[in-house]
Amino acid sequence: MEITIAETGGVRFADLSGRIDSTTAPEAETILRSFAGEQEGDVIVNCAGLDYISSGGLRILLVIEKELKGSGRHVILCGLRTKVEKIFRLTGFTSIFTIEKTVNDAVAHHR
Amino acid sequence: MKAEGWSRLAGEEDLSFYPMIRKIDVLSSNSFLISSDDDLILIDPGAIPKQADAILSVIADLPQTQNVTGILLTHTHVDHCHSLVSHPRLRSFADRAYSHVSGVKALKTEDYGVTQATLLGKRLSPTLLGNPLFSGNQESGKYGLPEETISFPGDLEIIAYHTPGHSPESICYRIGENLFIGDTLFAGSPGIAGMVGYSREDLLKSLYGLKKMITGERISVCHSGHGKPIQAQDAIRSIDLVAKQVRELDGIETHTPGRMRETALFAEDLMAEIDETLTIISGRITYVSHMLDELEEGASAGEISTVLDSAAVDDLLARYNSFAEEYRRGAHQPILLALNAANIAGKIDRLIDRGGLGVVIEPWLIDHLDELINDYMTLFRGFRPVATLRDCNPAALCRNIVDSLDPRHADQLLESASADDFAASLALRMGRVQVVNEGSVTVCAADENLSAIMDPNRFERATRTLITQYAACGADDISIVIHEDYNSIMIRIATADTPPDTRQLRYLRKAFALSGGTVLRSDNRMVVRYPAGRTII
Repeated sequence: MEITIAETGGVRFADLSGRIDSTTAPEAETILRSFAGEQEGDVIVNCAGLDYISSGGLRILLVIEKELKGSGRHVILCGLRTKVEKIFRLTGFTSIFTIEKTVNDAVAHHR
Repeated sequence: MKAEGWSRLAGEEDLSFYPMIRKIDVLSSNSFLISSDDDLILIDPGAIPKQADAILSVIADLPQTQNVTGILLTHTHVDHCHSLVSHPRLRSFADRAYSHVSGVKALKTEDYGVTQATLLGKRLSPTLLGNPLFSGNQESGKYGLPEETISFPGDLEIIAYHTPGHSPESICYRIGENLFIGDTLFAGSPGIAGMVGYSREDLLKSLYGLKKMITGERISVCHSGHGKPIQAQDAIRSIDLVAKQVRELDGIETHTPGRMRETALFAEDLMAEIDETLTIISGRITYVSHMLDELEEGASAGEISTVLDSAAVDDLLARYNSFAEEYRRGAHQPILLALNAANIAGKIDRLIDRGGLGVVIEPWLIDHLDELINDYMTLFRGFRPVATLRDCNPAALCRNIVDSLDPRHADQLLESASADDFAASLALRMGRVQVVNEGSVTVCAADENLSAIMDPNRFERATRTLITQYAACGADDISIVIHEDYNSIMIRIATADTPPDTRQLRYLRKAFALSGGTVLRSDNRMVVRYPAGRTII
C-alpha cells in the first residue's frame, strides 16, 4: 500500500494505491488523518491505484469521514476500480461516501 | 525448531535423548537423537538442511566422539527423510539407515509417488539404505503387528513394528516405554489421508494393534513425527479419534499432484470468494452499526458491531493473501497453498457465529459463506462436493430469487410491536443492502411449468451471486431466459454490461456446475444447460 499526496488545479488529494488490509490499514489511517489535518474543506482520496480493500480498510475510511463530519467536511472518493467500487456497493458504503468518477470530478465537487 | 537439549530417555537410565521438535507443518518432521555408551541413533533426519546441520552439530558437541550407529526412518515421505538423500554428510550414513524394505526400494528407485517428493516439490537422488526391515515373512506379534528386533553394534536393541496405512512402509519404533510413532496420528487428517500409498484398511488394522501395544507394553510416552510428545493415555484417545476419522473416509480420492493442483486452484477461487463474502458481511455490519449510531441508537450500534470479530477475520485473510501471493510467485508447492487455505478456512469457520450474524445479515449470504467453506473442506479432504439433484421448476425458483432481492421483501418493520423489536428489524433491513435496483431483473420462461434436474439450493445461491455481481459491477438490465432445448433446459442469465472479473466467473462456472448444470458460456452471459426433469404442474 502506498499513499502519496498530489495536486491538480491547486487542489491537493491523497493518491492511494495497492492493498488496504489489516496489515496496511493502520498506516493508511495515520497518513489520511494527517493529510486531513493539513487540509481545509473536503478530503479527496484518489483510489485509481487501489487493488483491494478489506473490511478494515472500509472502517478506516469511515472513521476519517466521521471525524470530518463534525466540522461539516467529508471524504470524497474517486477513481474507484470496478472491483473496489463493487465492494462499496455491496456493503452499502456508497450511501455513506461521496464517490466521483475521476480526480477532476472530485475537484469540481470540492469547489 | 525447538531443541530440548539432552535428557534421560523416559524409563531408560542408560539412554540419553535429544528431541528436536518443530512446529507442525509438511516441510520437515521432528528429529530425535538417542545415545547410549556405544550407540548413537537418529530417528528421522527431516528435510531441512539447517535441521540436518543442527543434528550434526549436536553430535559434534558430544563429550566423547561418537559415530552414528543407526538412522531409523519411520517412513520414507520426504519430510522425514529428505536430508538422508540430499545432505552430503548425512547421506554418507545411508549404509547405517533402516527402513521398511519397500521404503528402501522407494529411495533406491527414486519413487516420487511413495515418497511424496512430487507433491512436496523435492528432488530425489537414488540412495541405497543398508538395512531393509521386514524383508522376510515376519509373523504378526501378539498385538497383530509384524515386529522385528534391531540390534545395534553397541548392543542397544530397538523393536520395530510394521504399521502400514499412512504409507505402506510406515514403522513405529519402541525403546522401553517410549514409542516413536511417525505420522500415525495424522494419518486420518484432511490432506494427509489419501496420499499415494494410503490404505484405509491397513491403517485401521495398524491403529488397532498400536492401541493394544501401548497398553500391553506399558508405553508412557509417544513421540510423534510432528508436534510435541504425547502421553500414552492421550495417544490412545487420539488413536480412537483417528480411527473414527478414517472409518468415515470411505471413497476418498488419491492426492495426486494433478488433483492437488486442481485443489489449489479451487482453493484460490474459493478463498477469494470467501474473502469477498466476508468483506461484504463485515462491511455491512460496520455500515449498519454506523447508521444506527447516526440514528442515535448507540446501544444497538454497539451490539451489532460485536457480532463478528472483523479484525481477527481480516488478519486471517491478510495472512492467506500474503501466502497466496508468494505461491503465485512460485515460492510454494500447490499442496502448501491447499493446506494453508484449509487452515485459514477452518479458523474462519470457528470464528463465525451464525446466530449472531443472522441479526443483521440476510440468510442467503451466510449460507453462501457456509457453502464455500464446506465445499473447500470437502474437496480438501479428498471428496467431491455433493449436489442433491431433484426435479425443480427453474422459472419459479428464479422468480422467487428476483422477488427476494428487494429489501422490502419479508419486511417486518411495520409489524414490530416494541421499540426493541423495531431496532432489531431496522438493523436487519439496513443489513439487506439494496444492490439490485427494482425492476432491473426480468425473468422470461418459454413455459412456466418447465422442469429441470438440479440442486435447487446450489442453483439459487449461484444465481443470486451472479445477479448481485452483475448489478454490483454496474448492470441495470439483467435478463433470465429459460427455455427447453430437446431434452435439456437452457437457462441464460445475461446483461449488456461489464461482467465480473475472470476469477469470479471461474468460481461461478464451478458453482453452476455443482448445481448439476453444464456451463456453456460464462461472461456477461451465463448459459447453463440442465437435464430436463418431469414436468411439474
